[in-house]
Amino acid sequence: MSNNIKIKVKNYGFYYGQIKILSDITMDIEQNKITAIIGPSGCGKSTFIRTFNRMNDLIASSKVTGEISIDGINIYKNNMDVVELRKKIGMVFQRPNPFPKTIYDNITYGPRLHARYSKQKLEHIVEDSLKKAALWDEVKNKLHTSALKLSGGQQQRLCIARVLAVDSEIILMDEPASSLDPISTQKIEDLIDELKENYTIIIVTHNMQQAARVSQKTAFLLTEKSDEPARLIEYDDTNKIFTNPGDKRTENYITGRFG
Amino acid sequence: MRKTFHEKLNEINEDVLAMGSLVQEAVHNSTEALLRRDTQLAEKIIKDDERVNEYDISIEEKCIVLQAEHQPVAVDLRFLHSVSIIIKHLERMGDLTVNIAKVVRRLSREEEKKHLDKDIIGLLVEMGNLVKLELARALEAFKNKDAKLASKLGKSDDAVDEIQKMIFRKLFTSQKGEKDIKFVTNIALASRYLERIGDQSVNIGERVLYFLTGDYSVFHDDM
Repeated sequence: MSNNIKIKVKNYGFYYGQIKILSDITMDIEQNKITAIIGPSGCGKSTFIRTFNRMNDLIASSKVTGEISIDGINIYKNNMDVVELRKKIGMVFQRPNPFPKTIYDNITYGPRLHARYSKQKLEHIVEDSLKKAALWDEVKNKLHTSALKLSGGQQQRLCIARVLAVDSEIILMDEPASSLDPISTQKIEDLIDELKENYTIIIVTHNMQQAARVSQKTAFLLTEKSDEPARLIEYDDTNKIFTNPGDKRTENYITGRFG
Repeated sequence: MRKTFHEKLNEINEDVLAMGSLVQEAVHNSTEALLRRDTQLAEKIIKDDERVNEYDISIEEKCIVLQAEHQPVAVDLRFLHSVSIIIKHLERMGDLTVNIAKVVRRLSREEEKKHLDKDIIGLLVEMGNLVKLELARALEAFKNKDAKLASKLGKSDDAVDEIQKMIFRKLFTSQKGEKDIKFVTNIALASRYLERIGDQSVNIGERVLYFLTGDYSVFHDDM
């Protein structure tokens, strides 16, 4: 395996009960890069990224075929410690979902689940995570106030800080800026770009321009017929996808000719 | 009713073809005016160039607004970017026909009313026909999204370059005394302007090829 491949997806398929949602996806996700997943609504983008931290396991009738390896280890093998896996892979959702607790407690919640830390160590984690999430200067004087009092953009950065607090290596983002105003969106995009220095990021977005702005690689998923599963149509450098895609279906989608 | 993005793209496409048609007419008129020393036609070329310039500005503005409103990608982005450059080549062609018209103006002055050598007339006719053909092909390639035709333009331009060299040789070897200098220089300039109109068609062909294929190497290869 090449050193810069963080995640290897091989012949991956996903079922809800008898219904196959995703089929035969094979792709290598590079370390310290931002990979965007694009595709029409309902094509299984969110289902796909929830595969990487095994969040789909929570759906009783779901079934996975094929293989997903992170750092060379198949995450669907029987003895996989899912709690450890989810520590390694953080997730940020469409709408910010801070706990109804203080900013400080939001950040320390994860680390406390995984280990016992001194007060001094926890304070260090809070400051470090908030700095990495570009939120420290805005909240350093109100760490013990409710996170729910923050603006939407601040809450989303807090959610990112919460992921960073548990030493994640991979961050999954499911439309992280879709509920934010343009200024907050820009802050999140700037932050994502900075985070790629230390993290591998996979982002689902409906916003073509956002995918073009923030990512280095782009994967296009498409369900061609309503009774068929979605497939990976094209996976390439983002610049290539958005200036000269190799597949006509990708071009038709990103130029708004269907989807 | 609000026009869709793709309707606006089609409108720009039609505008480019209309602008191209005006330039085709100007190129045709400029060779005719030169060969016939037709000053009336030369004045018409100069006046009509205003319409070419108006198209240049209005199409450029439409491209900018459309990019700002829709942030196009892929083939649409390449199309708008290429159109922004193609119209500059067309506008430059219009300017070159004006330059030829001004040569016709100068040649109409009494002291420059000289007869052209038959061979040079023949070469100018041939060069004019080739240049008109190149422009027609460039516009046809744009209209029909024909990459094959666009890629042929560079090769046909070699013949234009060759004719221009022949005209230069004939002009400067046939020059008799100081009196001929202005006349010869004006004819040489006119042939040079025609040759540059041919170059602009090749440039349009390259842009059409890039818009159709997304391949930047077309700008580096000898076509």
